[in-house]
Amino acid sequence: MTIIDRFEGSIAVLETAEGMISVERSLLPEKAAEDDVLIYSDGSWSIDTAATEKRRSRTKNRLKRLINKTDKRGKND
Amino acid sequence: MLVDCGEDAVSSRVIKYLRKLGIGKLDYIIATHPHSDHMGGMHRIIETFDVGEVIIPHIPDEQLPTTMFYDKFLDACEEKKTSVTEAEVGRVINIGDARAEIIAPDDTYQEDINNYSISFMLYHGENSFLLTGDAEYEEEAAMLKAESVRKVNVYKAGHHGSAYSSTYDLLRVIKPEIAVISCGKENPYGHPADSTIKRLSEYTQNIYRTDICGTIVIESDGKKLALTPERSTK
Repeated sequence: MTIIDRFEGSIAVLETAEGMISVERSLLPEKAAEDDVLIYSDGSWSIDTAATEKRRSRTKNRLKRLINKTDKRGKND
Repeated sequence: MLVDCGEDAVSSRVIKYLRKLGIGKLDYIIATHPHSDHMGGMHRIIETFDVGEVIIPHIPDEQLPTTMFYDKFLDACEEKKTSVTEAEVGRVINIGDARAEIIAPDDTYQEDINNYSISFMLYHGENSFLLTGDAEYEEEAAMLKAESVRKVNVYKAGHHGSAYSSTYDLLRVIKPEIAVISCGKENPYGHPADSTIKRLSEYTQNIYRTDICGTIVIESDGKKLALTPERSTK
C-alpha cells in the first residue's frame, strides 16, 4: 500500500510498507491530497478513493473510541 | 513531556536517549501533528514507556490521517490503554515547576495539516520557549491574532525553518534570543530556507541547526539557559 504522508514543496513524501519514499508531486494526480491512498499502475499514479475513505473512517471510529474513553479534552492540570 | 519523536527509523535513538536520562515515565506526549517525520515512531515510544497522556490536535473528520504509522500509533494507545486527548487552546499543563500553555490550533479549517500543529508556550521561571511544530504563516497569524505569543528566550523554528514559517509578524513579537532549527542533514526539502535564516538573523545571531550541530540540548534552571550542541558550530 502507498499513502501520501505529506507534501514538502514540489516533493510528495509517500508511506509504503517498506518505508518512506519521495516522488515529484507533479507525478501524482493534480487532486491528490495528504493521506490519499495511491495505486501505481502502467507507470502512473491514481487515487484509490474507496480505500482512502475506508481507512479514514476507521481512524475516525478508533479516535472517537479512544478520546471518548479518556474524555479529558481541555481539562487543566 | 516529550514533543514529537521523528521517523520510525530513528525511534530507537530517541528511546536510547530518554533511557540514558533515566526516564521511565512520560507524563505527557505532545504529538504536534500526524506527519511521519514528527510521529512516525510514536507507537514504539508508547510501547516502551509508561505514558500518562498523549495530546493530539483536533483534525476535521474529512482530513483525518489514513497512514500505517498512525494505525500503529492507535494500536499502541489501545494496547497500553493510554489516555488520548485533543489539544485545547488555553489549556495549561504543569510539569514540575515549568508550565506549558497551548496556544494553537484553534478550530479554523486549514488546508494544510501542518497548520493543525499543536503550538505552545513553555515557561520555566524567567525563561520562555515557543514550539510550533510545522505551523506555517496561517497558524502563526492565528496565534498573533489571539495575542497568545510573547517574547521568548528560545524559539524552535516552525516547520524546520521553512520559507513559509517564522514570519516577520511572528518574530517582531517573540524577538527570540536563541533560534533552533530541527532539520535533516542535506534534506531534499531545502530546509531551512535561506529567507528564513535571513529573517531570524535580524533578531538573533544565536541560530542553531541540527543538520550542522547535531543534537541540541537546552537546559533551564529557571534563570539561566545552558545550550549544549553535539557539535560546536552554529
